[in-house]
Amino acid sequence: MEQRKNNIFTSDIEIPEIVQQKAACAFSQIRREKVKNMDQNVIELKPEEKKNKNGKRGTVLRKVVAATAACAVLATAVGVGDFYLKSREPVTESADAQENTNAMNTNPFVLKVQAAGLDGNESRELERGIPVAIDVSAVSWSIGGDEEGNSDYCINLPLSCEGENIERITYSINKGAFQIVENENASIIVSGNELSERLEVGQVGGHYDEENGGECSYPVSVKYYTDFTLDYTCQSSETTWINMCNEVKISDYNLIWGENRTSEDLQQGYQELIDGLVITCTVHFTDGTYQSADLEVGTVVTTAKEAGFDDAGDADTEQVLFIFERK
Amino acid sequence: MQKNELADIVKKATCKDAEAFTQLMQFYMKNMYRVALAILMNDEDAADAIQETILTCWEKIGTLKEVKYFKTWMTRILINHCYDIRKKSVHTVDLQEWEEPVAEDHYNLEWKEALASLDKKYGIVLTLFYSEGYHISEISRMLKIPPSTVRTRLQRGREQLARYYEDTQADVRYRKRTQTERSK
Repeated sequence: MEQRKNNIFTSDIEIPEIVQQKAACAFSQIRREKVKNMDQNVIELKPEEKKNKNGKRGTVLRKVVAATAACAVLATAVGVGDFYLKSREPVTESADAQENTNAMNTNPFVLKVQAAGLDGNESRELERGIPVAIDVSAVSWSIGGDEEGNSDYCINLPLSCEGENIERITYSINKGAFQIVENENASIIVSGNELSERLEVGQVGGHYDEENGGECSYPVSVKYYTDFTLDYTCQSSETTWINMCNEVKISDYNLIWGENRTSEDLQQGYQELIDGLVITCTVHFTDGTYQSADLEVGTVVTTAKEAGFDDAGDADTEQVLFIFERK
Repeated sequence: MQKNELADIVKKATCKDAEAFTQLMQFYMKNMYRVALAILMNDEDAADAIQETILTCWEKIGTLKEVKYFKTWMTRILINHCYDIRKKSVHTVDLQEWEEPVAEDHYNLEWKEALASLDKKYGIVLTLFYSEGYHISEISRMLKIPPSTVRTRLQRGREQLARYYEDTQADVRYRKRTQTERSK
């Protein structure tokens, strides 16, 4: 018994997944800080822009896109094809930044986003420094609010990972939660940390079945996670929607819903909703190692013409889009 | 990892080499987990404490005076974070509001059961002494308690653990005997 008692303190233990995940988040934060300090390509803002933006994120991107004159055009977020901000050159990574990213594993993996306008399962790769717009058509996002500025958002997140020897993928979010809407009897979520209470946000997903009087033909479950894990071989399904959501108080209701709002107003409103939002994707390899990538969510004001995609509507109409940028 | 190799990595980490720092913290991950679990008794809180410790260590690594004291320094930071988390979670919860934890704790069950059998103050002392190999004087400084208190807690912790294992063995013998009697 003495031997067994002593052995319990020296025997090997297994690190739980939740510990690994939270440690990975911390390492990822450290790497981000390190890369930011070394990044030589940060574009300095003009003094007037700094004043107007109140130090909000997304202003670097705002400057890079060719700015149109402020106008009273109502920006509409419509289903758009994917596009790159072509005027921006990819950020050149320093050797150290590259090394830091691969500190835990040398296996590469790519993150992809499925944007509107692409066929079937086609996706666009998220490359460092190149923002990509995600589908914000009317069926894949929901933004609500009241006159006191209490707002909420729920935006579909069509992300996927590709690589060799990947076993599982974990997504974590630093603000709000993931809303997972899926067939209760066919969940693809392997594990996750569920929020103890529901968020008061809109719901994105769940088939509307006309033949069934509007009711979905299968039981729908809606859950909220701060992080969740998927099997690599089963990252999506027709009956699963993975969305990012949060309840946020914005400074002025009229930024988003005001009748006379400008594109800049709308962008500021949207930016306040997702300010500082980062999604971390951790890829777990079959050999037990893992690697993480951070995706910053931002906004951009652009036109279809500037962005280089065909828009069935007016190519010169300003639009405010949500974008992902891999750091 | 060899001592020299470890010392080199610590030196690099103190110069804010993120890769070296990551490697260092990964090397000590199991140590941190053991200590955090001994205080907090659940994986979720232990994960939070470890996360906070990694960030604090990164922030303050420039203040580390001697490379050879890195582990002790890190463990002290971890213990402080564990106590902070424990303080925050000590509150009265209405039974009607309490919900069972969603995630199941499957890891290291025997270790957790053994820790659960001990008074909170004994578990951490036994862990630091037997698992982490600290001397009584080091444990005394880390936990800010006199060395005599460390010795007392070690002894009482050992006694409690011995009783736990005796009871466990007795339980097994009782079940076997009962099964045997029923099968007659």
